[in-house]
Amino acid sequence: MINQSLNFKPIKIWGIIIAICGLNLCGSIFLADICSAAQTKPTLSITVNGKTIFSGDSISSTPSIEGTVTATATIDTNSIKISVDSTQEITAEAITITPILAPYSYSIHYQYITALAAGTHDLKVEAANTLGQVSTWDAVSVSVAASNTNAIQSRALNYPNPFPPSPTNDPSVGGTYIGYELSNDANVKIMIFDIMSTKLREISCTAGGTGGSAGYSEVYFNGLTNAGKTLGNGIYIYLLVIDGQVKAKGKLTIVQS
Amino acid sequence: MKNKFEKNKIILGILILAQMVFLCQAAFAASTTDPTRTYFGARPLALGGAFTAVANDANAIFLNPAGIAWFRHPEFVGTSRPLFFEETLYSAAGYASPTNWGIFGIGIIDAHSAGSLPTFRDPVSGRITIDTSTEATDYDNNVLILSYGKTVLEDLSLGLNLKFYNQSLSGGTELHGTNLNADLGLLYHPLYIAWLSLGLNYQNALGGAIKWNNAAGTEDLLGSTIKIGSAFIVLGSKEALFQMEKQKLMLAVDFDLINASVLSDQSSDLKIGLEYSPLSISGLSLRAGYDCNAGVGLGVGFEKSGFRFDYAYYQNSAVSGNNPSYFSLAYTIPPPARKLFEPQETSTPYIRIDKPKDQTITPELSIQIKGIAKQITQKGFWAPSTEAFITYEATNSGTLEKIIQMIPVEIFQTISYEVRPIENLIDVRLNGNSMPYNKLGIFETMLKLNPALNRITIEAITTAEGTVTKESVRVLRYIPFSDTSENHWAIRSIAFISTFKIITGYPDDTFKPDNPITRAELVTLLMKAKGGAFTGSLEVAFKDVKPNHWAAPYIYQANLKGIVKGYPDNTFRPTQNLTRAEGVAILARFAEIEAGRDLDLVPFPDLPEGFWANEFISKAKSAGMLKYLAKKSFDPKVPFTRCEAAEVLFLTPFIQDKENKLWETGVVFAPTISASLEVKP
Repeated sequence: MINQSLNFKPIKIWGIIIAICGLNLCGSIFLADICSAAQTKPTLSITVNGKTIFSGDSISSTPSIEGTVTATATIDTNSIKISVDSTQEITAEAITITPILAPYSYSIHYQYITALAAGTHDLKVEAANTLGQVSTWDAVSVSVAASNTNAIQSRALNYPNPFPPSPTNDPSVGGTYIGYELSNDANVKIMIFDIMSTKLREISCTAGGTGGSAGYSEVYFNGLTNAGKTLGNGIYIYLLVIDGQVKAKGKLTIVQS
Repeated sequence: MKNKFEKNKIILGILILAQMVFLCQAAFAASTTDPTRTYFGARPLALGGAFTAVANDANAIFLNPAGIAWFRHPEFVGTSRPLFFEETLYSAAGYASPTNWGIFGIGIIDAHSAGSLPTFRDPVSGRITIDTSTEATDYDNNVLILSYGKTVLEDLSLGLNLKFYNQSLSGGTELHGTNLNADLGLLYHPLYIAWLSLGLNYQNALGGAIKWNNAAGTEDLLGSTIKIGSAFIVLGSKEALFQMEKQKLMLAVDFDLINASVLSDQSSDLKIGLEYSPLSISGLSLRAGYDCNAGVGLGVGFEKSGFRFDYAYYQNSAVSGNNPSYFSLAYTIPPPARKLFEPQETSTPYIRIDKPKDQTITPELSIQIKGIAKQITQKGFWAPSTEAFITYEATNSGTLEKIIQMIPVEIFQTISYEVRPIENLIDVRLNGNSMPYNKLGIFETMLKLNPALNRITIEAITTAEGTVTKESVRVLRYIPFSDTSENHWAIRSIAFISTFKIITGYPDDTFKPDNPITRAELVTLLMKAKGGAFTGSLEVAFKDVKPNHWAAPYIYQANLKGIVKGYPDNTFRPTQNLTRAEGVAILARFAEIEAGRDLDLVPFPDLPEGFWANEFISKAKSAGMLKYLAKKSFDPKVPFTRCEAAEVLFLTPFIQDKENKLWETGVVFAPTISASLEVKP
């Protein structure tokens, strides 16, 4: 293959010479265009309060926007901005931008101090490279709940279901993840009962912590009671309780392997 | 006493068995939900679950099978409602009915929870998502219970539940598991502590596990619970700890010992319940209870014509927001109308007075009355039969011809007997006045005694028939002597002789039972016993009994009647102590005993043949007057003591007749003696 590619004929050589001359005539801009075609737009990887969010998710009213901007070309750090509903714009000066591998990779962080108004918002993060190529990350219609509202935004589900218990607390052996979405940070109790209403397990999640922060959370349940007894085959009921009130419930099935 | 011993053995045996099996269970596997561990019948629920020693309706099938042993009629109870945020459909129904072989019951509890959603993790979002391609899983957990209860003693019943556990997962997951288990129950209503009941239920006595039909043969432990209960009738009209007419308050307390295999993080539980019935509002009950592990219960019950509606407000303390209202319906089926061949019962009420026994004698001012009003229930059926009716008719030939007619009749074919509390018992009366008794018909009180005879009559009163049975005992209250205990061998004789004023004792309230009796003393008391009018005049026959001797009238009257004779030297020796031979001889003559054919020539081995008193001793012995010397030597020369004199005199037919009249009529024999007898010098 290589030998064939090196087997130039005279007519082809003249053609190359003419082409180089043409490039010289077109000037440096043309050459730059040839080079930029190999560069990509910046890539944005954004989390809100440490979570990956999607359109329609809940976020806290003072979200922490975090993420990374990476590109193969030089990133224009001044171009990085965060906006809510395309109006409330946070410019690069207010954003903590930390180089990871300057000038091609930066981490960004912005903590909202002023609470966002309750309701739905479009959240957008933008960044560009020095070539003017712009990338956008956005989450449409994320909702911010009123500060006094503690609600489970979506149906509580657990995965896997059915599942075997894991007496060793090893998710690869068994147990299940209970997933739910909180409208606000809240102290959440996950209470698990048998179908005769005997309380078997209580998992407490503190506000802002794992399972207690606004947005989507998952909490691991190993299939054991508080005292470490293994639950037998059957359906069990779990309740998500906030401020003493049952906000969501679900059923999980244990089938021992 | 034997009953008590048997009862103790039964209770101890069950407790030891329970303890052994209970401790041998180990939590080495997963544990499963037992629908019989938490029962949602409204009445027990309102009592906080404290029902082990109450167990007096069909709920007992689920909570203590020994309770059904006391059922008189078939009973049904049932409840159904969504449980726990309506995630479980719960149903329970029980029925128990008396049979000829004990009380049988059947019960079922079913708990069903549907719609556990299968899920997958969305590959794009990474979030948990419903897997619509797979069917949701349903779970059914039910137990079929066959109950048996029987009273083994008057105040003790035992019960057995055979339990068939059946669990299944269906839909997205198909699994099936079963187990056979047993409950052992005991219910004890102490005969003489009417306000107390004690109960024990050893739930899942076999321990056991649900065995699933998966490839691994998974087993999920059920575990045992020992429920120990007590119930106290605190307020009530008769049987209660504190009597308060027209109100009834029951306190029930249960303590559960929960085996480590049970699907619960608790190792014990305490339950307390109160049930208050204002008897002025017929059929109404108000309830309150507390279960330390579960929550608070409140409730009300209405009963009318055999139907009972129970409501419980029960709040699970673990979480709020659950629907707290529970309902149950119960029905007691009335006895069927009498029909041929159908099993029937005929009942014969009776009263047994354990204390005091009839014809008791006592020096006490009051006496304990204790006994039981019961009925013997004869089970059987009426069957058609024929009865021969025989008549004689004169024939033309003048002879009598026997004519047999078979008359159709109904006869009662008995199958079994059983002793039970009297039905509809509303009162037990002591000499016409109400007295305390409990639901088992056991009565107990103290009664103040009158001097001499007391007739004690106990009556059982029912709503339907008034007095259905009565029983009497008789008690003699005698005036005691300070030196003669109730346990003195001759106390019965001394009591009667003193009651009849034949011997009145000494001024210092002593009887001096072992003192020898003089000839004058014995003759005097015998003549006093005879009573009657001593009139006329008697010649002095004994030179040592002057007319002014205090006993002269009695000695000479006795001499005249041939009861005593003097010595050959014309003396009577009134102050000489009597020997036993002399005393018995005098009493035998006094008793005027006819000589029987089989009179012993030698009545006691130590008496020589031809002894002058043998005839009298034989007569006294044959008349039963010398029982106190049975299997003993006679010792004719020993002093004849005062208590011996009382004993032999009491056993003379003359005094025996007076005793019988006293018991029968209450008339106390009181001999009177005329003082007009004159002894001439």
